[in-house]
Amino acid sequence: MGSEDSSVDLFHLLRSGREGLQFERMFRALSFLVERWYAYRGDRSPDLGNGGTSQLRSIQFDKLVMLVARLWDALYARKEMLQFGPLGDQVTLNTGADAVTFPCPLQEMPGKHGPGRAVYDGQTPPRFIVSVLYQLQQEDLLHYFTITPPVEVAETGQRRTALPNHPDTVVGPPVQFGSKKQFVDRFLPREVEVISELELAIRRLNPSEIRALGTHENCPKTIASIKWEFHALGRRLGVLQRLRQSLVEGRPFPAEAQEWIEYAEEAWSKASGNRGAYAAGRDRIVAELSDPEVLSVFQDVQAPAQEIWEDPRVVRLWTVAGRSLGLARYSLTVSAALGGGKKTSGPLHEASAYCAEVGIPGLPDSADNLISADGKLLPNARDLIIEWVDRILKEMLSC
Amino acid sequence: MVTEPIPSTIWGEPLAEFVSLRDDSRRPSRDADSILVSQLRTFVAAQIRDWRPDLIVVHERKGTALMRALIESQVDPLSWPWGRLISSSALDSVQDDVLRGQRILIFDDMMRTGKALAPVLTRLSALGCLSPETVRLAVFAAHEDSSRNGAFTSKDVSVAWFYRDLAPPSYRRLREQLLKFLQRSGSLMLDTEHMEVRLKLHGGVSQLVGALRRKADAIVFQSGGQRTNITVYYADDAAHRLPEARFPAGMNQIGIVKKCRVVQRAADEFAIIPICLPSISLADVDWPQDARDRRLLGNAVQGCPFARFYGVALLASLYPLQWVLRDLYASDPRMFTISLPRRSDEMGSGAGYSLEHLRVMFPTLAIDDLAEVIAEVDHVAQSEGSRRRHIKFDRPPYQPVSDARLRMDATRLLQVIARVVDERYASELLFDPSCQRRQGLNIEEVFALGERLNFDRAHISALFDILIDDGSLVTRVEKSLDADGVTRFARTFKPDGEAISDLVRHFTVQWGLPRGF
Repeated sequence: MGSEDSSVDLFHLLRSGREGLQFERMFRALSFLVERWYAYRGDRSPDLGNGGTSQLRSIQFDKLVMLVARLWDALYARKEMLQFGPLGDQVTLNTGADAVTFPCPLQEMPGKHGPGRAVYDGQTPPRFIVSVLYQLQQEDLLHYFTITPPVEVAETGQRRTALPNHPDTVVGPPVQFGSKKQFVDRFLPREVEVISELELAIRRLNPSEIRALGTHENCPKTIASIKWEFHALGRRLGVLQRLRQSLVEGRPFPAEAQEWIEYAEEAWSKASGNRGAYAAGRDRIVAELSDPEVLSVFQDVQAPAQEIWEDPRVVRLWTVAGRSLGLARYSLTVSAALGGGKKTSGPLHEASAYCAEVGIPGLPDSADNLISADGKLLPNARDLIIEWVDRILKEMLSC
Repeated sequence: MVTEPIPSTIWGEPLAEFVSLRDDSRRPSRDADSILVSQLRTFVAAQIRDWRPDLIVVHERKGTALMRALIESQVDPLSWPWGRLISSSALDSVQDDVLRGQRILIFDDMMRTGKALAPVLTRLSALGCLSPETVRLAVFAAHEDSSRNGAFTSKDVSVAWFYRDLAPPSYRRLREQLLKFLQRSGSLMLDTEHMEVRLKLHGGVSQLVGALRRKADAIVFQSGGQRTNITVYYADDAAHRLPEARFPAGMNQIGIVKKCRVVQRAADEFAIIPICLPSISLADVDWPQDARDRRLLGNAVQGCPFARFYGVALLASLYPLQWVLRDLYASDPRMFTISLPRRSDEMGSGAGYSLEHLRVMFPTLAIDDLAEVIAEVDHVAQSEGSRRRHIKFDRPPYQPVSDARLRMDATRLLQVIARVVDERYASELLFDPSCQRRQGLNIEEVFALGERLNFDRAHISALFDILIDDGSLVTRVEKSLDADGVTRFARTFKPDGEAISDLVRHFTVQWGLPRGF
């Protein structure tokens, strides 16, 4: 090949049809792992927070894909696929049966609460894996999974099937599953070994452990992920600005308060709450893996819990997340009180006490200290809450 | 470049357009390339003849480079005065009366969707001079998407084209042929943003590289047109700083483009192209120019931040020019002869060259003043160089990097740039699904990505040049957050259009991101 064509040399490696096969095989590998996870009859740690230990919901499945794809890509990267020939003037393809020969075709793209694996065309928002698989299922093209969104009640009162990315969507195994040999037939021998190792590693994880391992991998990415929650809330959605304006005008703001709580809880979980599940899941996988290469890659890719959560930067973010969560919960009770809600003093008292614990002292702890006789916020209370909202917003954005 | 046979584990068939490029019997020949250039020349000449424009507005950097290649061609050069050619990027920096009441020809070499022309049409529309009687859009080759977007059924402008409704493979092939023409003509650096000084080499290239490396790093590569290119990279050290007093307050000169390109023009002739692009404050800050700089740049830089960015860049580029010339003179002045650009009144003799083409990007630039300033820079560099000739720097010998390695590294860098641009755009879409703007990366961000690939900065700097010359990376001036937390106007980089972005995306899906990403 003359050097005149060298401007696009590596793009000569592009193959039409390759991506279709990559997707099919990655979906097949994931389907096998999900089927084995559901079929596992041994013990798992109790999991109270994610609908028990026997089902994978959309978020946990999404994180399972994150974990598997991360390991798969790291194994793929162990062997340089594009190498220079001995003279250094030629690029050769270095493939063979002793390696993972293709990367996960799903790309890591930013989602509402951090990255997920998705198909991205550069023009429209990324389509995350559950949505992609559900569409394939609906079109009767692929049945490697059984995806069941919940039924929800619309504002009109009509019952309808929720979107597949609804948190209560259940991702189950394929309806029919042949033998393992048949299912992984088209993979190369080393790829089959890797899939088998992943099967052993993952089947004993409970959904919270899967979610934690998929969400976190190391300290820098955890920091970025917590900051994502802060910035999404403050800069992008403008939730706190709207909430602040409602406080000024003395209007209830339940939607804004709920949204704040959602982002604050996510940030807090990432900054602290996920640590236990992550550590337990990581220990379990380390104990299960026997293949030296897969074990080594896993230990490289998934940092020990203490490296992530004992980093001073993460500890600092945890403090901010705790204050944000405290004030978010408090603001929801304030909104309820503004809306004329009965029995707000109990929740107000609890929320105020929690705020004091996380470093936000002096917030009114009863309706009498918060609301005037005509149902408005008392000026002192309003000014104090707004001052704290501003301070917390500033804290989050400065992180 | 890829050795055969392709192993069986690589599924799928080569893409059709690459089959045609790889198969010599079906690959467009040099003749086909020449025919294309001839078609381009014929098209532009016909538009000038038929439309009789007062002014040609050239779209984008590649468009200006093509016009320059046609005008400066040895064979059948296009006849058109530089003073009546203006870059679309410079439209905001000219007075309204330069455009109002004129017959205007907008030249776009390749149109993908047509959306990129919107700012040009908006500017003309704001002046009330957008009509099919006064404005013609001349597109050499248009993608089928542009027809879908109604680019050829506009009621606002007259439209002409040579190729239209091109399917993606044909569009990509034509684009590559045009890029090859540019590379043969002297690369994308033929654009109209940068000053240049010519050098006649009496020694070998290795001697030249040795001289350039006295106080800088240099990387040598061959461009697509088989020209020797040298990227000379200047670090952010005390020896390579700009005097802040000459520039607007709030300017940032750390982590910016600061280099020289040395591009072979003929067997023994090279163009030295200094490039320095400080980022500038968005605020309307004070710029206490001295009378000479004010006269040199003209009044455009006062009102328009975009023009100010380029004005600052032009002045700033005089410093890398001085550094490179100083290093050359300090090494061995017998090795080369520098020829400086001439004033317009000296051009009658036919010899030499001028910098008239800079008018396209800098409509208010005093070209003759610039020639004088460059002559002074050369004089100072000679003096400084001779004084420093006795100083020997202990530099390790130059370790050449193969073109294959550079091109592979360039692809890897392009992949990670494209990935970050995609991620940022996807983030924007999460919160604003109607978002159209894809922000590029500033140079510090690209350096940081390159360093994660274990490339040093000089190497990364050369990769920029390869990618820009190949038409894979496009440059912009955009608002960008600097390392000090201040948002400024800065040079940014991103994959050149959706065709390249898509190609890179597919490459990443099929072959993965580089290690460490």
